[in-house]
Amino acid sequence: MPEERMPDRSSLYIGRSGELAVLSEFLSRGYNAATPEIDVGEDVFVIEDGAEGYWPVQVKTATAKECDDGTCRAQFKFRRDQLVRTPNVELTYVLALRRKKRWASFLVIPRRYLNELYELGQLDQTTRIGFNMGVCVR
Amino acid sequence: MLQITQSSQRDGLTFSLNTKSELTLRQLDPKVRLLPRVFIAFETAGDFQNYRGDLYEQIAQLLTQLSEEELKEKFGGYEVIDPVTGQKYYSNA
Repeated sequence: MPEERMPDRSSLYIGRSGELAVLSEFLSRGYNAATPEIDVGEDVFVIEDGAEGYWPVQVKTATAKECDDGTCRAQFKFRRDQLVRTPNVELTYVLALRRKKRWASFLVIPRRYLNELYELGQLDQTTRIGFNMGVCVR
Repeated sequence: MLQITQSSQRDGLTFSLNTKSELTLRQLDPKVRLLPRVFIAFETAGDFQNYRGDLYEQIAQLLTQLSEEELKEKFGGYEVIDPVTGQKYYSNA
């Protein structure tokens, strides 16, 4: 395995790496999955073979910072418009956490529940269009 | 007043209660079974204009399980808004 070499556009590389890790995880669990050719909000389409419909998935990635107490923390960024709009087919967020140079955790949260946190003031608004959610992992 | 959000999709509109309105309804009746969303499909965007008022009333009833009269009496009515811009599409107050 080559050394991690992060270019200037590191977030693009980490983001795409997270999408592929999530895609791989779905496939290994027996779900069919694909990435859309054009990104209009969903990163992965998940399909259960033989079943109707699909699940649109938005992948968010973050790199963890280690804490003295053995836990780690990471901040995931969300777009406000995507969070508050109710889609026809409900969107699921998968938060991919990179820790110690490997994908350590995949946190699955339906958009609806994340929007509840936002509407109840539980997410940090960083800009007019975006929100952050801090995650702590043992 | 309760708030219903209206989100546009390519082939229609999706309506849902906002979180505070949902919590308000659940406090009133903890056993209430609320729909997470209602989707109205249209062939063209202009179709919705022809039904507008009537449809909002039916959508509100589906989402809240309450009649127009009950919504006015208990909450002072409801409004339908864009969740991103806050623009008001409809109000029965």
